[in-house]
Formats: sequence, C-alpha cells, structure tokens
Amino acid sequence: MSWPTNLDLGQKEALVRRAHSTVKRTESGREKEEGGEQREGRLTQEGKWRERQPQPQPQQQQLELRPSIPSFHPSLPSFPGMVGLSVGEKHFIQGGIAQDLRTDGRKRLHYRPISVETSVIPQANGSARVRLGATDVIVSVKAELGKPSPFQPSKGKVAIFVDCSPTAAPMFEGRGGEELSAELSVSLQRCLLGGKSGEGAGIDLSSLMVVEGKLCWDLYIDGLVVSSDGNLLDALGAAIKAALSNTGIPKVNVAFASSADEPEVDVSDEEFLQFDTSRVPVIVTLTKVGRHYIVDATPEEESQMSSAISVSVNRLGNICGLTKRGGAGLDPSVILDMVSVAKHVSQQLISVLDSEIFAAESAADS
Amino acid sequence: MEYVSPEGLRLDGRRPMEMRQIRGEIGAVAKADGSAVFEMGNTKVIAAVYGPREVQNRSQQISDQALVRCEYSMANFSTGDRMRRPKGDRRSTEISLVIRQTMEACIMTHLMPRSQIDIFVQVLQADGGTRSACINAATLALADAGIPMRDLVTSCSAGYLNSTPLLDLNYVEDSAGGPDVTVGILAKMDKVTLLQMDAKLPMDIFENVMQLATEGCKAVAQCIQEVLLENSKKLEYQRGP
Repeated sequence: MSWPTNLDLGQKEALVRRAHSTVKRTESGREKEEGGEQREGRLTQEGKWRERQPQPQPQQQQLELRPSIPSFHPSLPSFPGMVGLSVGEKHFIQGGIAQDLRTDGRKRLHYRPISVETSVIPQANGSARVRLGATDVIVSVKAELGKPSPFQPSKGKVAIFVDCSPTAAPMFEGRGGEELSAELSVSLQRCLLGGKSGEGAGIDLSSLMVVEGKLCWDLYIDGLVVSSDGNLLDALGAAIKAALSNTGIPKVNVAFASSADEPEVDVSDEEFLQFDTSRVPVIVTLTKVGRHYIVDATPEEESQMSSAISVSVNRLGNICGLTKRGGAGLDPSVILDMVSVAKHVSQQLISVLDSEIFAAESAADS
Repeated sequence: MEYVSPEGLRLDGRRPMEMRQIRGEIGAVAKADGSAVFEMGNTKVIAAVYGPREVQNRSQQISDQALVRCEYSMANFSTGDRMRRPKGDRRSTEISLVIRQTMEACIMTHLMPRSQIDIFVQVLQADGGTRSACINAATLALADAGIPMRDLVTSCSAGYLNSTPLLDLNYVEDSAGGPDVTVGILAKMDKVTLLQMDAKLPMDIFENVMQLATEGCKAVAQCIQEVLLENSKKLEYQRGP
C-alpha cells in the first residue's frame, strides 16, 4: 500500500483544516505569505501523491476511511478487530436482521450454543472456560486473606480484572488491548458488583467476612480473552458465574489468642465452603442494528450497530446493572423496551447456563 | 532439600530421566491462521499465528524476507500466587526475543518477502519450562498455519540436582537454584538452535545434561509429529473423497 492510504482520519482532517487556515492567513496579511505558500506547496504535493496512488480495492479503502456512513463507528473501542465489509455485505447483514434471519441462521434473540468447562486452572480456587461460537474466555477466581476496608468492616472485597490476550487478535499486542480490557473490567464490575457500597451486588460480600474488621477474603476474578468472536461481555459474565459456582473457599478456623492482636488463623486445606451463586446475574447485551435489536452479535454485526445496551439480570428478574455503549442516541422508550426484552432473554440464558454448569461440574467430578 | 529420593524418584514421582506428560492440540483459536495448545505436565500454553500478511508498520518491512514477530504473555492466574505484572516486563521481553530468534531460524523467510508473521504465545499455567512449552506450541501453530519451515523446532530443559541429571524440570526443581539447561533443536537436521544455561556446571557433566535435554527434544518432536499427522488425517477425512 502506498502511503497516503495510511493516513488516518485525524490526519486527513488536520490536512483539510490546515488548507483552510493557510487560505485565511494569506488573505489576512502579507507577512505570512511565505509560510502560506510553503503549506500550500505541501498540500499540492500531497495531492500529487494521491493521484499516483494505485487503488487495489478502491471501494473498501474508501469505506474504511469515511466516518459519515450512518451506523458505522470506527472510533468505538468496543470492537476487537475492525472488520472490513463491502456495501453488499452490510446490506445483507442489516436486511437479515430486519427479516429476523441472521447470516448464521439464528433469529434475532437467539444465542449461539454455549459450552462450559470448569476446573480448567488447577491452582485457582475456581475456574471456568466458556465458549460462545468462536469466542473463548477463561475466568479464574482466587481467594486471598486480606483486611476489610474500614468503611465496610463486615464485608469482603471482590475485584474483577480482564486481560485481552494477543492470541485473540493481533491488535491486542503490546498495550493495544488495554483500552478494551479496562472497558470490559469496568462494565463487569458495574454489572456484577453493584455500587461502591457493594449494595445490589450479585455476590454476597458479607459471606466473605471471616473476622469483622480484621480479616476477610479478597476474591480476585481474572478473565482472559483467548479468542474473540463478538459478544465478549456476555461470555465473560457467563464465565464468571460458572467460575464462582466452581469456587471453593477454604474453611478458616480462627483462634483468639489475645483479643487485641491479630487473630490466629488456621486455613483448612481439606474443607471448602461452596459459594452461593444463585444470585449472580447474567449479562445480556442487546445490539441495536437499524430498527431492531439482536442478542449475541458477531463482530460483523457489531460493526453495524448504532448502540448497544448490556443489562445484567438475576434469577428473580431484577436488573443489577446496565451499560450503554455506542455513539448513537436512543429514545428512552426504546431503552425500556430493550431492558424488558433483555429480562425475558436472560431467564432463558440462566436456565441454559445452569444446566451447562451442572453438566460441566458433574463431568469434572467424575 | 532432597530433590531425588534414595529410591531414585523426584518430588513429583518421576524418574530422573522421565519427562512429564506432554500433550499437543491443534486449533485452539478459531480466528487465527494457525493455533495450538501445548501442555507439559501442569505447564500449559496457547500459541496463535497470524500471517503471512501485509507488514503493519512499513518501516519494519524487509525487502527480501519475512518479518517474524513474537509476543509472550502470562495470564494473571498462571502462577501459584496471583500476580499482576505489567505487560512487556524484562522477562517476557527476553522470552519473546528467544522464541522469535528460534522460530525465525526454522521459518523459510526468504519465500515470503515483504510480509509479516506474528506469533503470540499466552501462558495459561506456569509450572517450569514455559520457554520450552512456548517454543513447542509455536512450532505446532506455525505448522497449522501452513508456514513453510525447514524442520520442526522442539525444545526441552534439563537440570542437575543432587548430583543427578534431571530431565524436564518443574517449577520447584527450577527454583532450586541448580543449573537449568534449555535446548532447542531442529529435530530431523539434528542441529541445536537454542541453548541457554544459568548457574555453573563442570564441563563433562554439562555434556551429559545437554545430551539428556536433546533426547527430551527428540521425544517432544516425536509427539509433535504424531499430533500433526493425526491432524492431517482428520483434515483429509473432513475433505472427503
């Protein structure tokens, strides 16, 4: 590829702006004519380069560079790996969604088959691997003894971190995946852990307490995206749910030698307490394409979205958290409609996930 | 500490010249051009290969051969106690470099000028010998991607503890402070492409330890060949008559 095509949007815009400013400057005063001429010279040079440029795939090149096409937002960080689509492909995807028959044969509100595998990381307290189409995520839960925060002496702490492995997409190499990792971690934290107070958390934080004000369990939930094929957030949410139900926290015997000092702890390596995960919500992401919305979007469909809403819903049908992504604005009534659809879909997802987790647990036991 | 019991058994119950269970599997990452999982005992790594494709950073383009790049990363949960290390620390940079140089030696880069091959290795579980496991996984992934190679590169480590040469060290043996010899060979051409050792060792014993590691590499090569053959048979079957 010759180099003018390497110009990104920002550079192009700057170029145009520069051209405007040179015109203004040459108009405003004679002293600046010299500088203006230089700049114009550079611009015409650039123009010449453009002419010389061979165009191997003119259509695709152009489309990738133009932000003005509706429902196409190259700047959104939520796309792992930009997909290049032709106009025809875009129409095909959009038309399929409008007719309730998507490119892979699913209906709008159908998930791809979910497969769950538990106890994949032996050194963790609990772990799970969830595959959703070609999306593949691993989540591990590690419990460490720590000190509760002074503001919430009767509660344990939970932290969620997500990493995007470069194996999933070359663009995650180096620091390339950090933005997406941060976005996913924060969304998961919001959807699963409730607010700062820990109120409304899907995980019962008071069950992590060992000695009030002195000792509690810190749960570190680490997610790793091994392969990315769209809908990472839902897959990670499901994997966290599966990993938590796989988690065994060692039983702790506390002996108070002297009440003022730190309590003496004896961590059992035989007895484990299972975690109550019935309240852990699942995350359902509804992606709006055109006038309709779909669940479990593939990267191609995600590239066509105008906006997306991720709703976390628990078994009782309560909404535990919500995130809206995407540039386009949404009508409030549409949001309410999407939330109710998400609630409906989530109950199906929970039952599918529960049976998958149960099957995985019994396969791991045998 | 006693790493080899008087009965001649190691901490994990192996004989001194015994390898851990090795297992390779092709096709872990659907979107990559080639990918593989490789396990050596409790060490487990995933490798994904993207390419040959257009060079992303034009200034790195080489006019007469392919550009090979590699990145090694460890998952937060891969080690016993949880850690969160920043990306691109010195250890992973060094291992990335080692893997890149080793793989570059076997890829026929002159056949793919002005293109780029990316190798990404991700450690899921670390229990000693990640370096070797990564190289073995990368070989499988490159073969899966159909990238022309001179030969299969395989790697294995060996050490020397309690006056006994030990094959394929695990984490406990690795951190015991004895020498750790990591060898990478081109299996059929019988050439050494990678050799690293820390700590000191008398010359004649080094010869034995290196010989042992080389034998280990050959055993790994056998395993990798079987995996590749199995995979080719599967592909042939899937293609139909």
